[in-house]
Amino acid sequence: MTESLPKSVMEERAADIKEITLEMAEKMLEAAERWAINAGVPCSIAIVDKAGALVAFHDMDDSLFGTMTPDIAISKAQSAVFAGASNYLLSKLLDPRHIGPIPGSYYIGLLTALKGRLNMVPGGEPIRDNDMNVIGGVGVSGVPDGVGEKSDMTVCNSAIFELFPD
Amino acid sequence: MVAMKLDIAKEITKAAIAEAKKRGMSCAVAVVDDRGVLKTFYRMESAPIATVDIARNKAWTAVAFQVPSSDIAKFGNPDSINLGFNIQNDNDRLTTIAGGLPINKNGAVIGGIGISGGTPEEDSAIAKLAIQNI
Repeated sequence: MTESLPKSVMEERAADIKEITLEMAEKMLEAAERWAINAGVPCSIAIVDKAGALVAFHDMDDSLFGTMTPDIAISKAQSAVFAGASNYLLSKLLDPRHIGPIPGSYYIGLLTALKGRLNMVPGGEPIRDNDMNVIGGVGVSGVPDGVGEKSDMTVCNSAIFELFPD
Repeated sequence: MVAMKLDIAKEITKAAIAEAKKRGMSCAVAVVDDRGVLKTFYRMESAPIATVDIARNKAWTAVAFQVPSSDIAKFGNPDSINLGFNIQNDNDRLTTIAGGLPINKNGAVIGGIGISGGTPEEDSAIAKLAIQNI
C-alpha cells in the first residue's frame, strides 16, 4: 500500500530548490543565528553556492576566537562543496589513527591543498537539492566545540533544516 | 569593543542593495569592521563570482588606508607624494578599484564597505549612499 507509506524527508522539502538564492541564504542565516543566540554561542556563519563562491555571511557580535572565524567559516563551507561531504567526515579522514584501513586515508597530505582554502575541520555541511546534487554549502566557526550538542556542526545543521518546511 | 555591530552592518547592506535594485543592477556588498575583518557579506543573484573577492578587497583596502579604494590607484603615480605606499606591507587584499569606502561614526573609522558588480562610478555611488546615514 504505497499511499500509506510515509513520505521521505527529502520529498517533503519544497520541490523547486535548485540553487541558493540570496533570500534563502538570509533565511538560513537567521535560523542559525536564532539557534546560536539561544544556545549562547555567537559565531561566524557562511553560505556559499555550488561554485564555492560566497552568497551571504554574518559574523555575530561577540563571537569567539578573534579575527579568524570569518575566513574559517567561509573555507569550511567551500570545502564541504568541493568534497561533496560533511566536514565531519573529512576530519575523520584526516585523523592519523585512520591511516591504512580507510581508502584514501593519507589526507594529511592535503593540508595545504587548494591554495590553503581546503578546511577539513567539523563545521561545514553541503546543501543538496532533491536529486542529491550539491547546490551549496554552510560553514560555521567560533563555537568552542566542532562536534556535539552545541557545536559548529549543529549551528550548520540548524541553517540547513530551515530549508525543510515544518 | 568592536564598534561595527551586526545591526549596523545589516542596515548598511540593506541600503546598498535597495540602491542597487533601484539602478537595476546586481552587486556584492561587503562590510568589514575596523580591523578589516569581514562582518557581513551579501551577493545579489546574477552578481558574478568575481565580485566576491573584489568587494571584500575594496572594503579591506578602504579600512587599511582609511581612504576610498580608488585613491590607491594614485599611489602608483610617480608625481604623487604617496608613490609606493601601495606596495608596502603584506597587502593580500589590496585593490586600486573604486567602490570601497571607509565608514566613519563619531569621528572614528568603524569599518569599511566594498561594492562590486557595476561600473566604478556605480559601485562608488552605491557605497556612498549606503553609508550616508551612519
